[in-house]
Amino acid sequence: MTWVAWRVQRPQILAALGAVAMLAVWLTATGLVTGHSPAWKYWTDGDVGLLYALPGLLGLALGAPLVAGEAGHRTQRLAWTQSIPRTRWLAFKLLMGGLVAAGLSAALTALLEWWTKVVSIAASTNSGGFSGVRIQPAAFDVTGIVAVGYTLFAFALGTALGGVIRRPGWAFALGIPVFAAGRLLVEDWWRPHLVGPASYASLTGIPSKAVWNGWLLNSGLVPAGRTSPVPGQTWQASPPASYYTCTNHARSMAADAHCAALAHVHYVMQFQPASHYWALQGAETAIFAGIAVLLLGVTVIAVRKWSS
Amino acid sequence: MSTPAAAVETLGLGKRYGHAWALQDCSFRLPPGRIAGLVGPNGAGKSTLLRMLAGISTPSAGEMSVLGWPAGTQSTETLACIGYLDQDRPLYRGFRVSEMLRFGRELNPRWDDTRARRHLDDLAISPRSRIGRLSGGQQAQVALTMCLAKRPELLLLDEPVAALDPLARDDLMHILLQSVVDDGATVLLSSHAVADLATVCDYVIILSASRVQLAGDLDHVLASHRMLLGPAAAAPPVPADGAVVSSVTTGRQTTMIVRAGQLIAGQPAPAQPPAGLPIADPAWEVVEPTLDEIVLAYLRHRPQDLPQRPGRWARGAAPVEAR
Repeated sequence: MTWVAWRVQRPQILAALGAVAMLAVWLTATGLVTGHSPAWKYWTDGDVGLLYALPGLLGLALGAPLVAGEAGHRTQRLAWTQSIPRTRWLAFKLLMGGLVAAGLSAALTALLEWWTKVVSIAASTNSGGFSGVRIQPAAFDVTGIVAVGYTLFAFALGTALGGVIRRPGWAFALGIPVFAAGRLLVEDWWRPHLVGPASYASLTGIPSKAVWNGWLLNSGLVPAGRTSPVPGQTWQASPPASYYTCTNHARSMAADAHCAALAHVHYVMQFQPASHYWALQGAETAIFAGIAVLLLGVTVIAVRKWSS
Repeated sequence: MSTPAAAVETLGLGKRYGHAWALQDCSFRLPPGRIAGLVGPNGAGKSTLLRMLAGISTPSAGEMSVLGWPAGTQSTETLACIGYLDQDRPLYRGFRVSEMLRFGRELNPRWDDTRARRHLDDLAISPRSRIGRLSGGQQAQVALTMCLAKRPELLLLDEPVAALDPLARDDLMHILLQSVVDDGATVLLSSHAVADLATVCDYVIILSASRVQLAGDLDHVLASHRMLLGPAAAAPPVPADGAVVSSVTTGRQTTMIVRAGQLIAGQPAPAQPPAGLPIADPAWEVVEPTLDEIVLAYLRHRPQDLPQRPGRWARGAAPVEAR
């Protein structure tokens, strides 16, 4: 059955391999050229953000046709009337597709580890370019192990949608917004709290080196002695009016600090420090791997119930 | 495994798609070692029935047992015993013929590669050809080869002779007879070509309007039907335990097919057909009908027209427009 799983999925596997190989060539070329001189490091977080779509496209391209592709020429009727139980047939196919998706994603991530290092500029220069700080989403999402989790999620999503709607094209098209929504929800609402964030307080609002090299979640003026806003208030809540009356006349950092002290407020920056990188990577990978397992369960149920 | 009393047995089997029944109240019993013909017009439910027996479609109602196993049994052992040829001849179009055979070899423990290769060699189909480049008839032959190379105990063939030339049809019928003799296989095949069936089948199941109209031994079916030819105005001399299956009036002549006794699906056929169907009316000529004519007679009727018991024949005797 291993050979059958490979042979049936060969077109998609080769196409995915080809696409990943072309991207690898492009990354190597740009890495070698722009990494050569600091003046050529013109990448922004937005440019690197294009790479976010890769795990989704890779996983969906391998997952969507896995079951639904059989429906086109009704080859499932051929496969399911050979001497192999349907669930075993599916297990081999899922294993083959899943391993290829995870393998290609891991290879791509390994290359991106190098690429993000050579094309990044120091965070503290504050030029607006791609800083390559690994805890910040721009680099976090394409390094470490988390992209493998995203790919498995997209792959399982593709197989489940394909199993339910039985049309590979529609499964792929529908999978893109679902994948994007899943990624954004976890990144914006869940990842910041996966590990308790750190706080840095100062009277002037100038970030420390740890903040520069971390992922800033929130910042604002909060009452002295607190590291977060008063319950019921947001980070944007205004300090007492006396603070602004005072800072309007302040002409130095020391004067600003004095104003803050008088108003009994201080700047607090809540952030994920660089040291939380692997804890966050592990937790988020586990989340997406878990969702993938649930979706694979949906695929198995859909295929078992498939009456053609 | 021990030989079950029936290769295929169904009771009240039905399949519904949305609100429409593709097959309803289907009950019949196919003894092992037979070659059974499943006949009926398009949309009668032939393919639906075969798909359910093959285990790729789930029944909406009723029960069935295939080679003694209940419906939907998914194990290597049960699946290996059933050979199924789909009406669409599904094959992986990107595969070469040799890869298609490897597919069969990998997935079937009883796969007979020599038989498959010899069969394709006889048909001059090269193992290096791409499936998608083969003609429709050649694809049908490859699909059939895949089915036969499994060496199944039960062959479920949906329109196996469609897309085959007359010579290939003849060859196929020989192969089927051979596998029944060699492997003790049971064959259930559907076809439009009733004439082909009559030469090879020894059991017949007539499906029409999603229901089984008749199921029985071919000999019994032939012996218990008569064709009557007579004047349009005269009352037909139908035997007391018989029924009119169809009646067609063209001009002054009425042609009708009558049935002796009950040959209703699910009920055992009479051990002996009524001797000669005594019809002693000089106005009527009595002829032994061919299977073709009997099948046509059943297909002419919508189910509510079909005489279910003696006495309702009068309604069936109403003139039916000839085509």
